[in-house]
Amino acid sequence: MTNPLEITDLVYKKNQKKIITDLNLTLKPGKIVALLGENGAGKTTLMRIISGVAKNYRGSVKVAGFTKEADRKGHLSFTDGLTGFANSTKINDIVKFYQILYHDFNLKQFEQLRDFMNLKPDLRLSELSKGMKEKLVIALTFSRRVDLYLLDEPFSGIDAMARKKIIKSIILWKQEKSTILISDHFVNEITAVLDEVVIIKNKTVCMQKSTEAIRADNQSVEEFYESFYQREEEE
Amino acid sequence: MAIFNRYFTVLFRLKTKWISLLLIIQTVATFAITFFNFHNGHLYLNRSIFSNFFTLWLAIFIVFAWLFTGVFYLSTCYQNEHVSGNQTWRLVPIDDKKLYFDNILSSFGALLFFVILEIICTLVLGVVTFTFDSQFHTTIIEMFADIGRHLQQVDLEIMFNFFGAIMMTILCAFFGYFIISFLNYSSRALLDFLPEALSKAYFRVIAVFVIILVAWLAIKASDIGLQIISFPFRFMLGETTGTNDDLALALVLMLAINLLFWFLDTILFSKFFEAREGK
Amino acid sequence: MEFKDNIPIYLQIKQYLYRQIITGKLKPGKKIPSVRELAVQLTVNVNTVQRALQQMNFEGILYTKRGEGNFVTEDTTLLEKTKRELINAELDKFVHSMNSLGVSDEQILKSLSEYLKEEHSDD
Repeated sequence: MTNPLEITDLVYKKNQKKIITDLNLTLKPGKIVALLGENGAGKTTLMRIISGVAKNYRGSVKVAGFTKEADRKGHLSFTDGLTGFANSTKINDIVKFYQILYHDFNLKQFEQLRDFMNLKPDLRLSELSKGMKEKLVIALTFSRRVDLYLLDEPFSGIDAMARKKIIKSIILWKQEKSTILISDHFVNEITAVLDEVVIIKNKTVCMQKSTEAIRADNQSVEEFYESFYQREEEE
Repeated sequence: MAIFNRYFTVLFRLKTKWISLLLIIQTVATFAITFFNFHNGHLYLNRSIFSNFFTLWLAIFIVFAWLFTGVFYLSTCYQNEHVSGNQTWRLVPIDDKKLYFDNILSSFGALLFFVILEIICTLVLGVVTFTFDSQFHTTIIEMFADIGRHLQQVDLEIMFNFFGAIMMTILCAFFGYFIISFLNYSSRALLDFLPEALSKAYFRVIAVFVIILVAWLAIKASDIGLQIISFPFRFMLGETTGTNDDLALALVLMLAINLLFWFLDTILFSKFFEAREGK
Repeated sequence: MEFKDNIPIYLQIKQYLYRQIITGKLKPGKKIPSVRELAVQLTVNVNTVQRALQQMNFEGILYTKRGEGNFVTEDTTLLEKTKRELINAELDKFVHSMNSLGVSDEQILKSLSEYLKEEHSDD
């Protein structure tokens, strides 16, 4: 089976500044992977490059074996902040947008997810709290059937209950062969659901390791991640 | 249905969403203006022609139709650029070349739809006026009789003139879309390339001026280039002889200029112009 | 259920299921929850649950019926053995920590019987 993600020798510059250099990353099917790195390490940029919305990079990016941007967009689902919609837009109208433009959007699954998240279909975007909006974004993202899901900091700034709901929805609705990449700048809340961690430091991937292998060395995933940034402080 | 058509449908809906609101405002505003003018007697227009309430309303409505078409055109220009730079719209699995064309085409479609609605509204109001104003009634009947007499004299040349003017208007509408996109994309691409210290809002304005200046100098450097590009505009300003040959030439050149900018925009859009982060 | 993050989670899931079986919450011959149900209930990765169940299948404490899921063994000697192992593991921990406090084995026995007597008189 083709890997959901294969990146080779990726370089990305903006404003004469290197943001990503010589990055290589391969993700296998059926995994939940955390993309870790401090703020500004380039996690969002990497996800935008994979999704084909960040331009003018060098290197190769393959999503489910596809290199063309339009094909990549068709085989991945990225948590988008829904900035394309006016604040007065109702959830139902956003769903219509998804139904028309994404042929893999599954309405039944969305409705299950929406019920699970306790969101009413006639709510407007302006009426949603930060946690509710993030839940909606997750519900929309998971209602598509794709090989790769990219969740960009889905837990930032939301309360513990919403966080738990989102984590449970990840376990419940993940298809067997699809892979989920979750970016975050800290890791403790989600370690139990992760297969692997990928750590970004110095503009590139500096470590990719299975969580159970980390634990087998009697180290917690959090300690493991922090050790990469502590080393820098000591130097 | 192919993604191109589905994307067009969604964009068309987005861009025509506020048309009904716009038309209601136009109707209410023109009614109010007519009402106050008619009863206060503060009328700077010729009383004898506008003796009837509906006739005055129709006249003001037509003036507003032009104004509101302009407003609507500007709104489609804005929406083109909003969609281009928005992550929600750019994440849709469609090729960038198609996305750009869909965007421009749906804006033009929306504009056409708006113009048709304006014409229908004007006609409805015209029919009402026709029924209530006897003077207007006779003027219109005379006018149609006059047109009927001249209809035999309409030859190919006049037809060409008529449709040529319509074609020129259409090409100008597209030209506006293309040139705004070009300035938006090229200035953003330039700022993304320059060091971060320069990526401030006012540098964007400077970048736009620099691009216009460079383009102008580049065109001016070759006398023939200037001749070619300025011709359609000189024609429209009435600086040429204004014959049908000139119209044909102006149309061809305008079409070529449009194609050139369409090509440039497509390249800039698909290779350099990024959607803003949508968080 | 909270897991320690510095011990492989599949081991902790196994421990959890052993306890459920020994305390009778999961009965011999009965079906245990599906992999996904367990994953949601424990908020852990499906693959990790899978790995724990595979090992328990290999040990014989669970057995798989094709297309139906995993069932608890009805082999009473195996269940007894598992229970003994679990008790031994707990005692091991207890004795270790007492020894590290400098308490001898005899003292442990004495203290424990006194402690139990007190506990029972409280009831």
